[in-house]
Amino acid sequence: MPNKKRFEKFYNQHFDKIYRFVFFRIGNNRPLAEDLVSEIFLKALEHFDDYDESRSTSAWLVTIAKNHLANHWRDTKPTQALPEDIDQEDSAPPNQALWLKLSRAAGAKNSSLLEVKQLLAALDPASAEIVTLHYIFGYSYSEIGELKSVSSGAAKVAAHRALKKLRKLL
Amino acid sequence: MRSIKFLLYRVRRAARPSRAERQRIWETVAKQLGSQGGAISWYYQSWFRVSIAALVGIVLISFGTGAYAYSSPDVTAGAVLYPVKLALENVEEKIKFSPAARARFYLKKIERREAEKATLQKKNKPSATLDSQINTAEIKLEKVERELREPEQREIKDQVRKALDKRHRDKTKINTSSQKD
Repeated sequence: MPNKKRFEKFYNQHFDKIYRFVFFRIGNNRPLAEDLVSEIFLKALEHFDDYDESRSTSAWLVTIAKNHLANHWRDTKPTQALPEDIDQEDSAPPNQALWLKLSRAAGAKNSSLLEVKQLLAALDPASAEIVTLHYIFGYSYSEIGELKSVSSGAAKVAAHRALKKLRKLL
Repeated sequence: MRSIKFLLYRVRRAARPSRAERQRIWETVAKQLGSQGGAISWYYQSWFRVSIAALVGIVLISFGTGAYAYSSPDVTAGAVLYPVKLALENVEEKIKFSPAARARFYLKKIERREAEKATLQKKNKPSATLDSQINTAEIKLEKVERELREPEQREIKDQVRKALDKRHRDKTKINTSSQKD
């Protein structure tokens, strides 16, 4: 059984980011996000002995989250085609992947959300993803570097260039 | 003009999990850990970390400000930090228990007042209150000198005597020159 304090620290470090990660992928549905995040952390707890902080701070949990979401979509909507990013994690256009199921209904209620989505659509997919991971989900540049297999410096530069472009579009 | 960072922040804030959600999910997870769950330990709460960081910042700034106020001759009567300087001196006076420590303190206090007086005179500002503070410190120093009787206090006693004699000579010179005028 994993050490409670160690897992509690892990939980507090990653909770907000994973919550947002899931929240935006399921159409901004809070009760569903709560259930899914709970299940994701339970899965993480089950395999917590495999977690090695020195190898990956966030990528491990994000992988669990993505797999769990894939299972959720398969279980809830068997007759519909799976969203692209679930089948093809790396090859799907990240822009679409990240804003997956950012439903039009949710966008209509939140004008900032809709506006940001439109602005990000003007960026190249990789930059949009980095901006989303950092400014919306809350991942640090070093965590983004781990997730995208780039250096943290490269992630930072990409984010700054993307913001510069977005400022011109505003 | 709207800022892109502010827009992104609004989107991020809209997706912020509530404390209740965080706590509920933790309780579910903690049950699996075999404990009763309970609240998330306070030392992992973000509000706790932020409060501690703010408190440390305030303490560091206070120490820095106090140290500057206490040691700088530029902090004179009328300056914002002068009450801080006086307050610190009062505290220091109260914690000097031995005659030797009190003697050193009053010598230092007279030195500080003299330095402040010089600063005020450069700025052509009155320094009458400083003169009265210096006189008070001299009177206390003379009292303390009489308590310095032990052989190991010989050195400090000599220092006090020299300082007081010098001050008396200087006062005599000033009085003599003002009488001649």
